[in-house]
Amino acid sequence: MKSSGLPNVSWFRGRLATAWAVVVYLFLYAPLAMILLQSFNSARYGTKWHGFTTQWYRNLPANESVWEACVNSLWLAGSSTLVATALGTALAYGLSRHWFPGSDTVLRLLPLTVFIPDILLGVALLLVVGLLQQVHAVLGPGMTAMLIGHVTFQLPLVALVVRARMATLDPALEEAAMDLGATRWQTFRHVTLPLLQPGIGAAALLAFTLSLDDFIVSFCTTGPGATTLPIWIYASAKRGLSPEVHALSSVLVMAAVALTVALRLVQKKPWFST
Amino acid sequence: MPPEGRLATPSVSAAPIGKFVECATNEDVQSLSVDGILAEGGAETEPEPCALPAVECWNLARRFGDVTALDGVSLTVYRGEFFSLLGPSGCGKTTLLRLLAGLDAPNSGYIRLLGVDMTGVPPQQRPVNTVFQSYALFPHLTVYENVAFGLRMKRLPEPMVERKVREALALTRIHGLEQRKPAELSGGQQQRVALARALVNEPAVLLLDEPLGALDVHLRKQLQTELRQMQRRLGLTFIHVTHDQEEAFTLSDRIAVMRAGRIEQVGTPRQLYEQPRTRFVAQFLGHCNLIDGTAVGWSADRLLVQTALGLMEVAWTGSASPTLPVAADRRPPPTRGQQLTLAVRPERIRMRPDQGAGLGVNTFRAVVEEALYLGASIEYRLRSAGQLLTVLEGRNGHETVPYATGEQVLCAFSPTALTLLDD
Repeated sequence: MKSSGLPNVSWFRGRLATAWAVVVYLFLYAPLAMILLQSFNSARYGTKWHGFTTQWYRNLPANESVWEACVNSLWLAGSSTLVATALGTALAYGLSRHWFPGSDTVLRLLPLTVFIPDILLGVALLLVVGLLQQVHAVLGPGMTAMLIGHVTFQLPLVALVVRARMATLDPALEEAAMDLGATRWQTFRHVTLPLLQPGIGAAALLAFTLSLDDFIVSFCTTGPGATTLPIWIYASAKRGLSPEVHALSSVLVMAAVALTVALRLVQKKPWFST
Repeated sequence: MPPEGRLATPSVSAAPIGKFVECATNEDVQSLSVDGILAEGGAETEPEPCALPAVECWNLARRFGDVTALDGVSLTVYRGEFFSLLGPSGCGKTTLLRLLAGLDAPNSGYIRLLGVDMTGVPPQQRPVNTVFQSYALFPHLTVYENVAFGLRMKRLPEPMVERKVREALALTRIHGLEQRKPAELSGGQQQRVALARALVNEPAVLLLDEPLGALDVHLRKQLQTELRQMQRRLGLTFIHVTHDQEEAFTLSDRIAVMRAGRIEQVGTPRQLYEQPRTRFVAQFLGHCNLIDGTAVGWSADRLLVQTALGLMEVAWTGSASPTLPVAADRRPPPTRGQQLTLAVRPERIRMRPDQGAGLGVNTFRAVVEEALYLGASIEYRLRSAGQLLTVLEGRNGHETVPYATGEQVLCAFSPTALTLLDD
């Protein structure tokens, strides 16, 4: 402790700040800690502590419906992220480097889907999917529709993130590449893309997590055999929360932590350290 | 648009290929000069410009909305020349450079590089390379990869890429920095890498956009010397954009002074300084005294002008009579009574104490208003017939006492010190 003039005041202030931080973090993470705790509770029903067990975790792999939901979620998140990242990057590049009639409008409308409540987007997609179903059964409720739905809300976000990165690039770099004989494609491939990579990586991770935890849009466009994890958890919760759900949720929380760490690593900018 | 230019266009894309096949047999960078590229035989590294034009611009105009960046620029730069575009910011010099590089297209007019029309030819296929103002080094690539970029884009075999990159790095005196990233280099080192990255492609014309602008004075002087030596040695055509008059004078064979999207005057540094054609050139390049007057007569080599300071005799290289045909580089004489402006450099005016003698031609009395001691010289502000004049007196040998403020002096200059301005 300090031994200077008025140690008590600063000491008290320091303690107060620490206490406040603890309260805030409790507020944020206590519910998650509850789930983690409950996932090790041997009680089949209720939240009363009956003893420690890892049984629910061991049950998980045997639960085929969880596996299927897991695979569906990852497949959906992976493929929609791939599509949205490719399209979003192309959109960001096009909007930044080429003016075309209506490009300003496209730019202004871009954040719109971010602000629109998910439920509206979901209902709108439900209507479209209903119509498309009459064109071809593949376009009806199910994985294809969910893929399209997820890309719908991922794409603008990817485009906004990549465009922000694009705005920091010196246009002289691309001009220099072309001046040195690189074709447009070579310029994009060897200069623009590598320089955009941190932005694209961050955007892809963001899109991936958004898809992974989306419930509303998935719920509106899902069909037979297209149950994702959030939908499975929702369905299980309606039957009464089971310890398996807690175990699964805990696994997801850990996955989210891993993703956050990954995001931090990708966002580090090794090329622009100064 | 000349038809032969159109017909010649295909040879542009063919040129780089032939260029590299030929250069593969050369052993040192010095022989990779323009002459080698053009396969004209006798690979000489003479700094003397050939009479062949490297760059021809004809009536180039470029408008950005309501702003006219270039307004009818015609220009010829010869092979082996160190040519500078000099002017204040916003005069269109960088725009002109971008048009030459193909990074921008003119609204009208055309450009020929090595006699080939460049209309519609993208930057990738032009025989020019640029050193950008910001250097524009690729931040994600090492120094080596930056310099190798152009060669790799042309898919040259890797051993040849390595040899050429080593040569270019040696030429620009970059040692031991190959694996560094641009962010780890100093400004001067970045400038050298940018130069090496452009030169390694053996461009017919190297475009330099204020390449030394961001460097401190000492480094700038050093790199100026190196740049000039390099250009001489390689016999390349350099087109250099700058707003620094001293830099343009030190480096260039010829200079085009630009203002507001137009070329004011093209000439050697000496021509521009001693025979400025316009008010702007006279005052942009160092200090210049302007004297207004009226034409009263002329002979074959002299022009008589009545000014507030008295009768002035001007050395005149125009034709003797308005009725005689005027040579291309000469101007028609003014008509009697025409208003005109004369320019005289401060160091061309001689001063001596006024001893009450009579006034001859090109002689006038003045009063010293201010004397500024500059070390190597003394700058006087004189007033004569209501006009302020600046006179620079060098301390060349004779130990004279500086003139005092308020002292009356006699000023004189030779007819060749006076220049008639066009506007």
